[in-house]
Amino acid sequence: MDQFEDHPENKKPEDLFEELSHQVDASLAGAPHRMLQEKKKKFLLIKLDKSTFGISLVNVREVMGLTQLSFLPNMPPYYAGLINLRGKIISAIDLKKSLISHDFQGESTPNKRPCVVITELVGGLYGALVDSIVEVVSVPEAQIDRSAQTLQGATVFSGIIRVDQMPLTPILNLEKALRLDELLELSAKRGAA
Amino acid sequence: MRAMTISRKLSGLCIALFVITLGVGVLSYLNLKRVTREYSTILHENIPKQKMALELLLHFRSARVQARTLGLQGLPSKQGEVAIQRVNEEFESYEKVAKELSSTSLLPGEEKLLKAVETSWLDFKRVGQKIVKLYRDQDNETLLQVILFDCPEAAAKYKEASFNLINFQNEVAELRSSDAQSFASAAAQLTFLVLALGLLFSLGLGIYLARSISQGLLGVTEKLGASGQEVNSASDSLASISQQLAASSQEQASSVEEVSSSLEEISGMVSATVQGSESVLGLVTSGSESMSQLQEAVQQISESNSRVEQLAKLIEEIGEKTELIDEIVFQTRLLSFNASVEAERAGEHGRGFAVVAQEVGSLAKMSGTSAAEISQIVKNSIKTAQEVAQVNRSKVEAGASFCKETAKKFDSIQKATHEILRASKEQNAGIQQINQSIQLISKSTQENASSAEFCFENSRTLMDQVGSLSSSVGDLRAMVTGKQEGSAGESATQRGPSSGESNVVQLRGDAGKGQASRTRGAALPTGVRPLQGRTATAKKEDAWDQL
Repeated sequence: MDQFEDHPENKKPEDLFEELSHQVDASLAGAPHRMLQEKKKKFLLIKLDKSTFGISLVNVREVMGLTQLSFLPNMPPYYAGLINLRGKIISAIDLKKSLISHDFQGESTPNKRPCVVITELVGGLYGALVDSIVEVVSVPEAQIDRSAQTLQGATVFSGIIRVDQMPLTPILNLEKALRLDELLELSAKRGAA
Repeated sequence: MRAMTISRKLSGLCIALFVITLGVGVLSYLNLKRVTREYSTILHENIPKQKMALELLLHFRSARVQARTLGLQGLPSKQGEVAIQRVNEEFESYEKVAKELSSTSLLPGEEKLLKAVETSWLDFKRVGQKIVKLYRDQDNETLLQVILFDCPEAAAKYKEASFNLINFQNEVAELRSSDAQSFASAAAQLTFLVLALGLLFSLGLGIYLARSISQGLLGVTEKLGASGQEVNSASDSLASISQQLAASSQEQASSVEEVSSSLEEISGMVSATVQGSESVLGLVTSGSESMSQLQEAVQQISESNSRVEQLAKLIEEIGEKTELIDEIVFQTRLLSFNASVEAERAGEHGRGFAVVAQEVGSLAKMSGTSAAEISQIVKNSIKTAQEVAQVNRSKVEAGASFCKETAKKFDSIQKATHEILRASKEQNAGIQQINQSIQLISKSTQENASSAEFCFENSRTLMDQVGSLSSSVGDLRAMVTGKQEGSAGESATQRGPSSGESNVVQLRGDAGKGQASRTRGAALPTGVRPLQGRTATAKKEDAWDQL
């Protein structure tokens, strides 16, 4: 059994935790040095079907599993419904459906376990329905391409992350992607009515 | 006649002769008796009657004489008295005889004559009495008158009647005598005729019978001769047949020996079969035991298969638990993301925490992949377990049915083997019976051989007997024909040369040779005894073979 002790799959959880603690300590110890070197931005990577998109972590308030959606009538198809977030009522937008009109080419398949990313935007808190949340990544500013040439003038994206061992990941411009202006117009119309 | 036996024929002849003799005798006796009767009638009837008639006449005459005496002149009275007394006496005697005569059986016609005599007598008597009365009365004139006229008249009348009677009697006697005579002569002629006819008939019958008997005997001798020939040939063939029988008995004996040896081999085979069957039975029993063990094993496999199915259920439970882990992982990741978010909001202070959150997140991700893998493995395991269970079940079922089938087959094999064993034992018994039978056959074959030998001997003896029979036939023939046949060759030439050789000659020759061949054959074994010593027999054997 001795020769198998070093194999990662055979490690006990206690050992794994110990290892992780060491890594955390190490990264904490080396943090000032790295911060000096380069400024990094953090993104939450989400998945819509098979496509991955980045959401700036600054705009994210929290993430949660989709628990309950309250249907609202006479709303556009991308409007998913209302979410009760610890007493706050938040509008939830189906990101896939809203992106379809923004030339999103993915398939719209029903998700088994959708997640809701609660975003904190200028207009307030909005929930964005995604298929799944992948991870949180830190990307140096240098590796974010924000050129209009690259984006081909697409306003729903604010840039593209290009890290070496990763596919190109577009960064979502949430105000546009969630069509907040349209929603505001709609609510303004209804309020007037 | 031909169908009658000789004794019958002879006794018939004797009976004929006896009948003839008896007929002649009876005829003669009857005729003689009749003649005798006639003569006795004459003797006892006619002659006495005649005698009586003559007596009557005699009395009449003496009475007349006495009566006439009374007419004499000068007759002393004493004499007269005597004469009267005589007359009366004569009258009485006459009456007595006449009464006697009339009491006899009278022939027709005789009565009339007798009556006439009586009437004439009565007349005469009256005359006589008248004379007596006249004498007493001393009337001599009348007396004389009466004596001279009345008396001779009555006397003449009486005489006539009496003569008539006597003549009648005579005639009757003569008639009867001539009757008897003629009857006797006729009887003699008849007897002679019958005798002659009977003799002629007897002679003819005798000749005929003698001829027929002699012819019959001759025919019998002929047939005997022919039969002797046939018997001879038959005994020849019998001899050859007994030879063949002896040979075939030997063959049979060798065959029986072969059969006996074959039977021994068969018996060996059967006992080998019995041994094999017994060993098969043992194997089958052990196989059956193994089969029952196998069945138990299959049963155990079935039980373990149900355990495998239980295991699949357990694994399914594990899968359910894995889903729970998945959920936990999901929540943990969400928590880690939230932690990252909170760390980001915390800014510089939350930097370390962000790392922790990230690590927790990656840990959760790892857990998630592990859970997914586990889930996949569980799925695969369930699938495999179910497949295994399915396959096992079907295989166990197949194995169980196979076991059952095999057990059944073993059972049937066992039964069949038992049958074979039983049959083999019966076969053994049957073979022993056959063996006994074969021993009997062998015994009877030996007996047959000895019988054949005996038969051969007997045929030899038979031939000799035929020879002596033929000589006896010759003797008989000589006796019948009366000719002394000097030699057999003579009869052979008489029978004709068409048959080649005469039976008698041949048989006698055989009888002669028989001694020689017997003495020669006695030295030889039964089957090798030469039969071809005679050419005639050889020819016959050829004929027999052609048959």
